[in-house]
Amino acid sequence: MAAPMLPPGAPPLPVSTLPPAPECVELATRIESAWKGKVKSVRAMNPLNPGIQAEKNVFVAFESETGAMPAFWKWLRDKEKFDHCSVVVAIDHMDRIEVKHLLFSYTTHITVETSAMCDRMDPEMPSASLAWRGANWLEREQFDLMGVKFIDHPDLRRVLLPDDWIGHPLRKDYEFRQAGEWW
Amino acid sequence: MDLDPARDYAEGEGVLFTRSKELLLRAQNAIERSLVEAPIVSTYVRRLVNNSMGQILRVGQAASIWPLHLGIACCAIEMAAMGASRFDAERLGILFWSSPRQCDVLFINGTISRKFAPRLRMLYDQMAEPKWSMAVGNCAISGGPFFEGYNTVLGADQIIPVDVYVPGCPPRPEAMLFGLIKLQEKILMQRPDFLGTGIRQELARETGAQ
Repeated sequence: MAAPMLPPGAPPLPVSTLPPAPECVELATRIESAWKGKVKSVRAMNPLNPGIQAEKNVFVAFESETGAMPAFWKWLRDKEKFDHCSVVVAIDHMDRIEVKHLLFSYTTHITVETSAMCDRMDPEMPSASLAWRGANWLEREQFDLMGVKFIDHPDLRRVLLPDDWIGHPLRKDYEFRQAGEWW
Repeated sequence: MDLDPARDYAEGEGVLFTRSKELLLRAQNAIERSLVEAPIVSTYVRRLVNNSMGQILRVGQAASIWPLHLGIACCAIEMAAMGASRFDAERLGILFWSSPRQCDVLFINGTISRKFAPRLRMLYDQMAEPKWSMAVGNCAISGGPFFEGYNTVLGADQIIPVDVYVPGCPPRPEAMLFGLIKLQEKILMQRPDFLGTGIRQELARETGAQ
């Protein structure tokens, strides 16, 4: 992963030296053994603050080979008791679009973050709404604002903007209207 | 009871009007008859009625402002504080009502997104005349902190006519009350229009009718 760009004069990002939680390491090794070759990298994240339940994070990167993601999500849901898709994030890296799903387990309190890279011209990736129905509107929001097309999504429409909107406004090359240009 | 339009009912004849249709018929007959018989006197009578009853009507309108109970954004929290016991807007006759059909004032308290703008216009169109509107907070005045947003309408006056602007982010409840008192002053300063001729002329101007 490339280091994130910081504005000039900004303080450096905090670097954690704390070891990751042992259950995160166990989950990471289970994912590595079960999904060898399909997952690019698995990492148990170092917590920034000890003792916080929400800091138990496991990062799973699929890069651009997203074909195994639906099976992986269903495996997480059925075998590892991940019962909540909390956030779907899309990041515009100008040359590609990264889509992250944050999956939470109410039994183990671990968050798994799956990351996929999409082509920026035609961003397509599988949908998590078949595994978690709550991901439906979250993915619709990312389709609305970033233009990511989720394959097999049951109802891929705009959710925040009007239906006749042109373009996807959270992309970095979106042309904003000038003040007073319309209405 | 059937009324005979040709017949001139005497005063205190014991006619009990139960239906508004009959009352309207009787009033219309009286006005038409007076126009035919004494047009100058009728004009004076109309002016007299307008100037005397119009004052009372204006006072009544100013003392019973009913805003639409519409909360868009965080200014609605201050609006709720204005209606609650500490500031108590109801002592000025300001009662929040949930239907636009019975309301006098449209409170626009928050950012108007481009998706909400047609709905706001529809709410304003549903309100009956006479109606006023207030832009409360910087968002409703000019877009406020979301001025550069891709989805922000740059002020409520891009969509509907606005009578009073109350700046602030959000304005305090006292500021909203002050704006409402200013609106009351505006209502009291309006030309008396008891017989609705002004509204009729305005409608005729809008529709292009004679």
